[in-house]
Amino acid sequence: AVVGALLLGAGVAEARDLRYAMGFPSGSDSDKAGQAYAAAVKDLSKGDLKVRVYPLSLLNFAETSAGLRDGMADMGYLLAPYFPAEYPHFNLLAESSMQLLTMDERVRGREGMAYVGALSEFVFTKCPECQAEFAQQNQVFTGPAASSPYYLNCNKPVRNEQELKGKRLRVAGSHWSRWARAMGAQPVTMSSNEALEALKQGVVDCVVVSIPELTNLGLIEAVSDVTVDVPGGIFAGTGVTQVNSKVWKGLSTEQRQVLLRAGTVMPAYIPFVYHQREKEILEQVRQRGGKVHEADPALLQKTRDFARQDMQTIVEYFAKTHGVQRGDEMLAQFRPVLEKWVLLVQDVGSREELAEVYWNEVFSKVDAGSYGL
Amino acid sequence: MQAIGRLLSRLIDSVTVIAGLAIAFMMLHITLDVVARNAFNYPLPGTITIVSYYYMAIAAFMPLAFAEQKSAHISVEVLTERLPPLVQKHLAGWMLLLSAAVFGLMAVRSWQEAMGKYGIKASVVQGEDSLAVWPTYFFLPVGCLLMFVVVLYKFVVYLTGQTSGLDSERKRADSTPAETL
Amino acid sequence: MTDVQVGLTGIGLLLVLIGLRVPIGVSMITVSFTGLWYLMGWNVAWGALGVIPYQFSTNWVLSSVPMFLLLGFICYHAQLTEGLFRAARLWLAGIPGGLAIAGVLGCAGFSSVCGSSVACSAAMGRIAVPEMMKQRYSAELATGTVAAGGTIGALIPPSIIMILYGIIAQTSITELFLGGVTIGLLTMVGYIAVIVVRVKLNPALAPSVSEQVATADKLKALKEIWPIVLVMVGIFGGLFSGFFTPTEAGAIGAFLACVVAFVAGSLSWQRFKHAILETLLTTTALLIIGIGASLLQRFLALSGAGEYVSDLIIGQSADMFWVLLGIVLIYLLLGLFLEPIGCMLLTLPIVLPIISSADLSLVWFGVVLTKLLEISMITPPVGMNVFVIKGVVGNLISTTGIFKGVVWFIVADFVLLALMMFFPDLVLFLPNWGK
Ligand code: NA
Ligand code: NA
Repeated sequence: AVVGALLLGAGVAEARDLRYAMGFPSGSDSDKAGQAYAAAVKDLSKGDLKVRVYPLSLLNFAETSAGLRDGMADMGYLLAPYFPAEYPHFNLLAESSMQLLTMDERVRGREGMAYVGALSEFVFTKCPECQAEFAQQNQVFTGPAASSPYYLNCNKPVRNEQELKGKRLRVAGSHWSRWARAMGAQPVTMSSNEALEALKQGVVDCVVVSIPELTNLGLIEAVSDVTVDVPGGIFAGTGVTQVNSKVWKGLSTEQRQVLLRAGTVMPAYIPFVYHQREKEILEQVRQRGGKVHEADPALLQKTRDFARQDMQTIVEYFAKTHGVQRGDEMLAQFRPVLEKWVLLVQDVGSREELAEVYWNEVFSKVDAGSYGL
Repeated sequence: MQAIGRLLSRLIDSVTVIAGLAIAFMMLHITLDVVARNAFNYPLPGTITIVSYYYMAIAAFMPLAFAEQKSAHISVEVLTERLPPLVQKHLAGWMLLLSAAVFGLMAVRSWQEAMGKYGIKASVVQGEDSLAVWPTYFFLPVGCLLMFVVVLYKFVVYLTGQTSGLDSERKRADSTPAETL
Repeated sequence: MTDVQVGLTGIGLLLVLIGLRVPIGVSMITVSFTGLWYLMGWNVAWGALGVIPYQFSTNWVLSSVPMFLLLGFICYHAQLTEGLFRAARLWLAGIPGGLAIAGVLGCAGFSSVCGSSVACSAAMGRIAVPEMMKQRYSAELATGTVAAGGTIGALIPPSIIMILYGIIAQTSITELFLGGVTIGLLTMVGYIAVIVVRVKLNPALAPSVSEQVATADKLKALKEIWPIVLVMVGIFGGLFSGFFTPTEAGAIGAFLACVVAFVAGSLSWQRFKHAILETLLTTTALLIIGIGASLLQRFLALSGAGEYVSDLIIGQSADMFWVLLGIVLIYLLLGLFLEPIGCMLLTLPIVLPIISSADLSLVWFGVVLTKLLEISMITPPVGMNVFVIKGVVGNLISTTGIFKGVVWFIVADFVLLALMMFFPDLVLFLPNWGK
């Protein structure tokens, strides 16, 4: 197959092959999203540009930032929260995702889609610091991605504050960590490939993660009780198709235009599929004899109060630790954008429609002739 | 010559003490964390980060030269042992240059990387806080540089045919390089 | 040259360097670095050299490697293992070949605290071989037994090979361990059968022991194994009752061994120091190979050579049976010459995609691979366990003599290997039990 591709490649002189590294294994939803993106790039460029996805064979998540910087890959799936010092502004926006809890009911079931729209718009147009961070790491941002909300996935019922007290929760993210402590639970940090064994053997009581990860990480076999609504918030610190700056500059304006146009594919694909999967997998949990609970109203209220208050904590923390000067202002500007996006994604029924909304509202307005140069 | 070898051995010894402490602390730290988690429901914050970044970076790179001194790096003798002893000796001597090149390059490269991480004060998220990991990047250039020096010294010893002075004795007669797998 | 050709040339060059006795880690780094440079340019090679070594080594799950090594070294240096053989010896005194059987049982017992088969061989060799020689056992049988028995060390958990495999294949280490329990015990049973049959056929191999052992002595010997049993129970009990994860088990086990040995009065400062130093030597030697393999994987991925080779293997036959048989033969062949962990890290980037694309269980393959690599520990010309036993016994017997003693055990291994291939449930029933 490779030899074939090489022979074909030799025929078209200007054709450009881009190596796209992602830390997810082949066959995962993200790999499928990546393949859809590659297909879109090929179509839109009429074969002039080709993206080859390397699922977990070229760079893992810990290596992606530096690997992309040094050109081991031309493009990469960046999880910015792995690198708090490198991407503080982008991470501040991602870490404030629990504000979704403080919005009205219309955001429910569409959290990821709305957040991705708002993040795209904000990073492309209103966050020069984010752009500078990416440039500093020799990268150009061409779109974010996000999950569905994070819930409590436990091996026993954990529905209210009483039951949360003293429980050990595996969390990945400081906002969830603070929430766990505020609710009287004990946050535990561990790597995701240990989470299953830890939950099964009772080293932890709950894993705080989005519902689709129950099957992605195989957690479902150890989960007996899911409590939805809390803690809420999504994983949003993803630069899903980061392009190496030198590669970006070496492309023609048309080729960059293609990457921006195709750049809407994964931002739409990933949250859409996550939200869709959420329902399926909760059903699977029930079929296996597990229970799906709604959070106790008092716990939900306390969680909302926490989320509101935590925005200030985040601003102060990023100012103190990473020198983020205008955190307050950024979050204040971000909120109306997010509210606008909740409305924009209300009637979206397919990931193609969602990609179209992203294109019309944000990506089409980015100037391929000057962006990232 | 021998004096240089003895000096190098002394240097390796002190680096090895640090590495040995890292192993002992790794054991104690993880044990304490497990005990604190189960007995007081209070895991020690930062255990995973400190173990995987600090102790592991030390344990992986700081003893490189120590292992070279004791000839503990794993290689395959099956083909060369059929060659005449003299050929074997020259081959082994010149092949040291390859090791020198590799660890010399790694020392330079990891030094650059360490300075870069120092510049941005690189950290990772750990619980509610972030923990600095930039100091751990400096264990690589130190370990690789010492390894480079030892390999180079062995090459010079081979060229000049002098006595090495490096302490290559293993504590046990049967401690072969593979006493491990 | 096409990219694939560059990749294949790299593999060839790698084999040449390893053949020239360049350390395996250095060989892999050299080839990957120059290969990436040639293929992708200086910046990419230079970048990879900066990113991969650090990221490979600073890994939480990998921290269990030094900790399990330390556990084994502490148990050995503090002589926690000696009681095992003594007890087995007294209880089996009357049976023909009883001492050799005791050696195998001792290996199996030590396996549950020791992650590697060479360490297991060395430990039992020091204890069991002199005893067997005292009773005028054949030197071939005596040394062959402990060389082969040592391979149980990497099958019964903990197992360094399985930990590394689990990290690279992204599979559950607990499930691998559970699969290893069955195969380790079956290996033990097979070896005991070999001893019984051999001694039946030729009683001169193991003259029967005339000593009458009093029941009181037997019970007393049982009491002497409490330290190692305590460590064993602590590790497995804590692991399966949720006190700690498999990654943490190594550190807990090492600490427990220190405490138990200290209480038993067998852990001096000197012995503790030896255990730490050996842990350092082994850890750094293993990790530099791991770094080389991690770099090599990128080179093979970028050149497309890995994919080319696996397409070549799969393309030859649609029937998975022949593909698997091919893989087994390749490992047996490589295993004749290569050191097992290097061999595994070298080949997994090519073999794993084949296994997953064929929808075979990665846990099952991990256990089969461990068994294959363990067989390679006792096949000539490079058989690590045999070399270690040779080091232990000195001039008692030639290396060739030990290899001769091992042949019978390899036959038992092949039978077990065939069973694992035809009845995958043999490996998988324990891991699947909880599901
Ligand atoms: Na073992
Ligand atoms: Na062999």
